[in-house]
Amino acid sequence: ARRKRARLRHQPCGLRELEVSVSELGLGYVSDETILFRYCSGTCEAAARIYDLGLRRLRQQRRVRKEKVRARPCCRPLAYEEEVSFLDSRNRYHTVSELSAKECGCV
Amino acid sequence: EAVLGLYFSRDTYSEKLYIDEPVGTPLLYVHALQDARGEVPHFRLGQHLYSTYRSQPHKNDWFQINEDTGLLYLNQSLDQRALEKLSARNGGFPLLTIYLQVFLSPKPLRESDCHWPSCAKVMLSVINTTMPACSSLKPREFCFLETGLSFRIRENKPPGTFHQFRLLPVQHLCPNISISYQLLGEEALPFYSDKDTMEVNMRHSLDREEKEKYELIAKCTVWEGLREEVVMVPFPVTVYDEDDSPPNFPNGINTANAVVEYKRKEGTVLAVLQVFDADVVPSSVDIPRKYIHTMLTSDPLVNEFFRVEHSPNETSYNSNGSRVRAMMHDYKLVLNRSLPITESHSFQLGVLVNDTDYQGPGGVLHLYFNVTILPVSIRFPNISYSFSVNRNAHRYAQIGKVCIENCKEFHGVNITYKLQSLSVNCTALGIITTPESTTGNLFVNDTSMLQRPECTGMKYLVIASDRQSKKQSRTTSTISVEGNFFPEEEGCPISCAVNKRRSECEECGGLGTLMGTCQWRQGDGKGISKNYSTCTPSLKTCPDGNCDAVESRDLHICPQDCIRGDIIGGHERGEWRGIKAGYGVCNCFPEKKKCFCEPDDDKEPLCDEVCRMVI
Repeated sequence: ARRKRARLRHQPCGLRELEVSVSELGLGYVSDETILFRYCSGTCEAAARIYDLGLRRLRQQRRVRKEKVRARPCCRPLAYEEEVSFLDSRNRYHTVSELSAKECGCV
Repeated sequence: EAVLGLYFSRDTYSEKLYIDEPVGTPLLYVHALQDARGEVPHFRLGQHLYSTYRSQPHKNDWFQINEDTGLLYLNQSLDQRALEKLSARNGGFPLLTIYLQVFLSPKPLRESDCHWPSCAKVMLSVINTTMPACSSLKPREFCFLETGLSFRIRENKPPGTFHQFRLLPVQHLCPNISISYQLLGEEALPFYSDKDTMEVNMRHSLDREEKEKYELIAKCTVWEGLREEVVMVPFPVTVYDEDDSPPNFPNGINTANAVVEYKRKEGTVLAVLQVFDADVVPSSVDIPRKYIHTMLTSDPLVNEFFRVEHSPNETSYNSNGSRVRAMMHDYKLVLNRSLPITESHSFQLGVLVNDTDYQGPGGVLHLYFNVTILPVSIRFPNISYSFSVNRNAHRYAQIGKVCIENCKEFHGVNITYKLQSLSVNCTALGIITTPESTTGNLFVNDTSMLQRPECTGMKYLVIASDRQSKKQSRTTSTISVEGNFFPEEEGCPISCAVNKRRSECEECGGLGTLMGTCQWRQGDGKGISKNYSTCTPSLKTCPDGNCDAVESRDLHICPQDCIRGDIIGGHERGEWRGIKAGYGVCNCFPEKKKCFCEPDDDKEPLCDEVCRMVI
């Protein structure tokens, strides 16, 4: 198990997919339909820039304290799926846009 | 337009066709019924054989018809080679059915328009084997085909023979089978089958207005030696209509009264008169051409402001225990244009309705609309309005409504409201007209005035005017400014809707707040609901599912009702704009034209590289 975790930790940032029911998303929609949910996951260590190193050092020196800063790149979607439609338990259609990732990158 | 005359009793005939059936094998009879006594049919076969897929037709070399009796028979045996030749033209599909066309007119028509009543199709199911032996056939196969029977008979036409029960090919090849047919059904029906000829005839002509459909049962009895088998199939006969009834007034009502007062909008239905017609012809396609109505007036005003709309609907009535379809025509008197409020007039409008298909007397009816147009006046109720406003109110706070007498009734009248300040330098308020309810909404336009000591009691003149007639009415309105001023919290957003929590909401002000602080609406927390939690300037007006005239001035006032942009999270959009229903708490960022709906989970564990597994 530990080996597996270690391997997962070093997976580079990319698309993963999960088959979930609409209700599981917890958006308030009640529907048994399943959708393919694609999300971004993985490490971004290789994408760090000198900006990140500098910011980290400044934070250590307490020069940057008040605000929330992010001193490492983050694996996020660069593009989203247009639309997903589904029928809910009261026989009404809903269309949600940008629910699922299409392309990932370190930003 | 088909010329009436002889007509086929069915639009499609069918029979089975085996390979190598001998020359002279009879296939079936087609039947024509008369339109007038003395007409004699002459049957004629079309030149071609067609297959179901509109591929190239083949010349008909195999089938012939007896011109007088309507007997279709083989004049050349259809062998395997011929079948292959026909199949080759079927565009690659297996050849299952071929059909021929039978015409009733002696003059050659274009073959492409084969339509009932003057043409019928004969469908022949091609079976790629020779005729099976008589002993291997089931009783059912001696009696009826698998394709159902159904017949069309026109009302008021001379009776005649319209069906031959016998399946000719089977009986031609198996003459020793004895068969009899019988029609079952109610007694005294106008149909009977002849024991010897096995033909079905009519006793007298039919009337659709009495009975439209005869659901009979055909019974066939087969004797094979001592065995007797009975087979029954449905035998429906549909009676076709012709225009033989004049239109009339249900309950004899031919006059309707219409009063035009507050509802003066184009499209208002003022009165309805009904015309009943027992016929279902002309068909809905032809009704506008054949059911003509004319307004009998030379008055240009009437022609300009009124129109008559005709909408036919099918109804049905009971005739000796069976339902018979009929038509009900609604004639609506409709306003063609919005009537000016000064217009005063009364007149009788006659409308002539003509059922042009009906050939007898009484095909023309007169409808009468007694129309009274009353003028309406624009008048404020005999009171002076007085409103109070809190000193801490923000811009766009709605402090009250003004409204002329009967303003809720008005439709299609353009009222606009204006304010004139009677106290100099105190122009704190503005007014906006809500066109759909013809009311005026008073709102705070300049908050700096509310702080001035000379503006604690303001007087305004309210003017309502009709755009079309320029008629006006005036009234006064006094506004008292109340409460003590307390300064605004630091760092509050312009819009109440930005706040996501109750505490933040109630300690801040925002555009549209009446008392200087926003109000919190606690939802019911039941999934995506209309009653979602949100922060609003005034619970009376926002969110109420309606982006009113004041709210639409600025998206910061009530984005919950007025947003057109993105709504993120579980939600349901309003019909035009706004959030109709949301999940949890809905808050908005008007600058970004975005709203969010999600439950407020304070207790959600923040597990983002911060949590470490503690072992």
